[in-house]
Amino acid sequence: MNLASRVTTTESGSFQPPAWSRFTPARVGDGAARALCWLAAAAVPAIALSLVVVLVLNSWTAWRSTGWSFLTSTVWDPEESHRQFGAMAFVFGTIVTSMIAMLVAVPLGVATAAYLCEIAPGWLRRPGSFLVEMLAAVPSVVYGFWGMYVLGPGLQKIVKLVGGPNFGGVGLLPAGLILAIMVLPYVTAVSADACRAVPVAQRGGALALGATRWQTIWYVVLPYARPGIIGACFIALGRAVGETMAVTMLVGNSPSIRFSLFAKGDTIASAIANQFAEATYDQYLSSLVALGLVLFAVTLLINLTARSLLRRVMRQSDAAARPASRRVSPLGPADGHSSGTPQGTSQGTTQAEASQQTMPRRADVEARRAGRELQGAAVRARRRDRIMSGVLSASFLVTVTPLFLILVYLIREGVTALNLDFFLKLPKPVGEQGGGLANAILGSLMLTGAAASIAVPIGLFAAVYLAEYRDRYLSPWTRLICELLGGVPSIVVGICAYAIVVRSSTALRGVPGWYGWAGVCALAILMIPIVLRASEEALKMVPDSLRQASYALGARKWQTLAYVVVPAAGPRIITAVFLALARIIGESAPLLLTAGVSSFWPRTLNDYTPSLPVFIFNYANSPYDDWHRQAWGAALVLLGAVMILNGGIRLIAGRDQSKLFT
Amino acid sequence: MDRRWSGRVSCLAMAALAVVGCGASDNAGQGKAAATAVSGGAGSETGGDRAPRALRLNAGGSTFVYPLMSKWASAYQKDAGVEINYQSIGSGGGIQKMTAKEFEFGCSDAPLNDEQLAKAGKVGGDVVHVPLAMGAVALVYNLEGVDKQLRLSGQLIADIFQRKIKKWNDPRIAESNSGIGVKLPDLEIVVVHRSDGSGTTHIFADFLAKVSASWKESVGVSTSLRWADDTVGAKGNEGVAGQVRLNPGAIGYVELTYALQNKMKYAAVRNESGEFVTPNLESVTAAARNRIGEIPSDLRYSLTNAPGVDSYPISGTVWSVSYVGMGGAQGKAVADFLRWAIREDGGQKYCAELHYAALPRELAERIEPVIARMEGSL
Repeated sequence: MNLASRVTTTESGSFQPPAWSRFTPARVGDGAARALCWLAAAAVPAIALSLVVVLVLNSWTAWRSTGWSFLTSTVWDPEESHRQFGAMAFVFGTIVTSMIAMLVAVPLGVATAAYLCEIAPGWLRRPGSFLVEMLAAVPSVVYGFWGMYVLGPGLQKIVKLVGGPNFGGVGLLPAGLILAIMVLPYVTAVSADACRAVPVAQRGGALALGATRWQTIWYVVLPYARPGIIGACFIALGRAVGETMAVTMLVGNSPSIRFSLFAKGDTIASAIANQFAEATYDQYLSSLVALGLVLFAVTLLINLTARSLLRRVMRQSDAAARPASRRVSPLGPADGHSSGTPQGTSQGTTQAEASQQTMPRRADVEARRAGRELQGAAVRARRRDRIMSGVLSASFLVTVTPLFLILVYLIREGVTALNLDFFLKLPKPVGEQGGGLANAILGSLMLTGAAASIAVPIGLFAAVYLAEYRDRYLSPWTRLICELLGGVPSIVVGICAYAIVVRSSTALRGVPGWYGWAGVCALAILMIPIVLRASEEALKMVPDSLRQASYALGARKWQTLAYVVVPAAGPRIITAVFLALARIIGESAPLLLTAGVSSFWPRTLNDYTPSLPVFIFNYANSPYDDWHRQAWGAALVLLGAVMILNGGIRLIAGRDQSKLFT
Repeated sequence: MDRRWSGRVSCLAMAALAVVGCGASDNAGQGKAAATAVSGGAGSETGGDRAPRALRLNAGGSTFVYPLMSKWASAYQKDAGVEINYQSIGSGGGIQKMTAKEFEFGCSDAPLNDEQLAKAGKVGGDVVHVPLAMGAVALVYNLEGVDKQLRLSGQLIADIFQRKIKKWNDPRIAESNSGIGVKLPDLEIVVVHRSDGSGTTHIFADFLAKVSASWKESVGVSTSLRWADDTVGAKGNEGVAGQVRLNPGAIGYVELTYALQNKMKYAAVRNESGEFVTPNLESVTAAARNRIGEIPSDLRYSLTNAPGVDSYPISGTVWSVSYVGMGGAQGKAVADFLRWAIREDGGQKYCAELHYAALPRELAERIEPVIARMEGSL
């Protein structure tokens, strides 16, 4: 954690290049570089602000006509003569599905994290984390598709076997379960980070006291990592609340408030996805945007909480790591437990430790009895250790099982659809056999390519500004807003992109259009935070000595940045770009609202542009077996692309890169 | 740290190489997409005037007509070289996007109401309705072991969809089917409806409101409704058919083609004369024939609960809706397509194979001047 000190030496300007000339091109370059980076850094808050403005402006009619009862009313009746809009049923559905997801995902995820950090054998740790990350890379629409045809019917069969009702395989429970699978990787990854941040001395202390591995995990590691784990839960909650496609395919889309596991419901995000394009009068459309605003506010709140919690744990682990490492050697094992576990867990000493402590002061007989007790306690502790280790390993298995289930099912159903036609032909008319999805593949490439060419420069230049220029006013805001922007549900971004881009087209050209560009804009907004954050980290990793050497050779700041710092951070930045691409290539919710579909070759992003995820959604929802087959094939292609972007690059670049500057 | 300095420099060189390498390949990938986009952009500036680029019309809406429309689109592309990109997003969406001029024409199974016409009047002027085809809304169900066609009355359907009847072996369903000797299972009914704005819903609700007072009072007629609790919403006719296929015990309403293409079971529905009628071409045509005298000049009408012993009561029409006097190549292309679509040797000849009822000749004659008005030549 000496990064901070590194950065301050750069920022304090002690290595400013000599000012031997005033108006050389090199000097102008400095000003231009700074201006460019400032623009990019300022673009992030500007984007966020415009999202808020668009949401508020477009939902104004709804707030004015419905008032506060919009939030409290349970009736959502868009029938033309009724026109009652209340968000409560959607809020209820959102809360219930998210809660089911959290109830399943949090224990499983934390246990998996504990297994991967504490118990798993060395050879399994990296592949294990990799598998969990793969789970996060599966596109939402693929989860929904799989949930609709495998998880839902499977659940229905199980429920029927035990005498439950015929609930249709859709509803709050299946939606909650699919959400649980989807947020599990987030809980696991962030919890694992928190566990890894626990100082080694803490574990060493507990183990030296004779604690078993399970006792170390339960009484030392998890309590120490608690704020981080809670932060992880909030991040996962933010995801669950804003998740759209998988939920809309499984939740039942029936806004009602019923307290039953088998009830159907609807969530805010799913209501927007279903109804946004079809709202036929102003108040209806405006009410949907108001739903988007509510969702935006809720995720903002959740993410702010997560952020402050994670901030605290980072500061704590920084503070604890340093003194602890110095203090650990003089400490005797006897008083180890008093300083070892922080925050109210000192009473959590085990029986074994307690009896060990009291032993020297008791009489001989008592000592012998205590010895026997101790043995018994140790046997019990060992047994429990074995059981709990088994439980933690099982959690890991349960966590990664869906990945294999999905992969197997996708391959089995999808491979038959993947022939040459699939990659080269256009879709056939409804109900006819054959045809392909070549236009959707090209469309997806156009959309993600264009989005990347917008998002990468903005994200990279903004990251350079944050990491290399000192700005007390803009940088903290950009950093905060970037993190929050990363948590905005994609469907909300879709609404805003549609409103901004398509409406600008109407204003500027007199006709609506630019649908493809609206999709690009939405994808770029989703991509910027990922690129920015990872690039900033990458730039911070570049050692200061490189900058110093560059300045010593007489290079100016912009030359140092362009020829030394950014290239040095290059591999990490490229990895980040690929990760961001992997995330957006599977995005369907914002494209559903913006780029739409087209059964012809995409010519230009001005027109409706087909994309693989939207085709998967449409085909999955259709009743035609041939379309299902093609949708499975498309899902397989999409997942393959995501895996290559995500895993392949990491496997190739990751290994060399990790050794670069550490 | 400084001891490893030389190692770092070599690493740096490698890293720089990696950046250049990856950057180049990345650019190549993006460049291709960008090039496609740019060249496409240049093409669209000149629109359909250039010979090699086919004119493309944006249309969409009704999922009811999607099977027919996508057939038409592929046939018309071969006939006239015009591409029609039809997005099956629901009638509500068709009306909304046509009004906003996103679509050159929308398709809807429900005519625009007066408020929608007024709104469109403010945005782009008068709107014309052009009937394209007629179809039946079939009640599809998923009941294993029930081989005979179920018979349902409107009131019964209303009660099922309002969740007043929850089991398949409800005595009222049994009573309605007593004549055909079928044993209904003790199974919970899963009600599937549309989650998006839908003209199919409008036709369905329009019929139920005519035969059930409680439906009219508490649910109403619209493209989007407030459904009873504990029902399943699915997107599009495609989605409803998919959900019903997936769930034993499910019932839903879809355009007849979706039922037939997927070999689903569908019910006979009691019409105004008390007869149970199966949805098919003849019964829809009969409904149209029995209503044709009442069709007003703006061609906005309803076919539900039509009189006559052989009329299927949940019949509907798909309209194309578009602005009057669009002008330009696009306006002409829309008019040409619509003329082709209503011609007996044009679009109408595809109706039968997809189980839509073709337009009666006397109605087609009344449509011609409407298209001429739309084109602005009248």
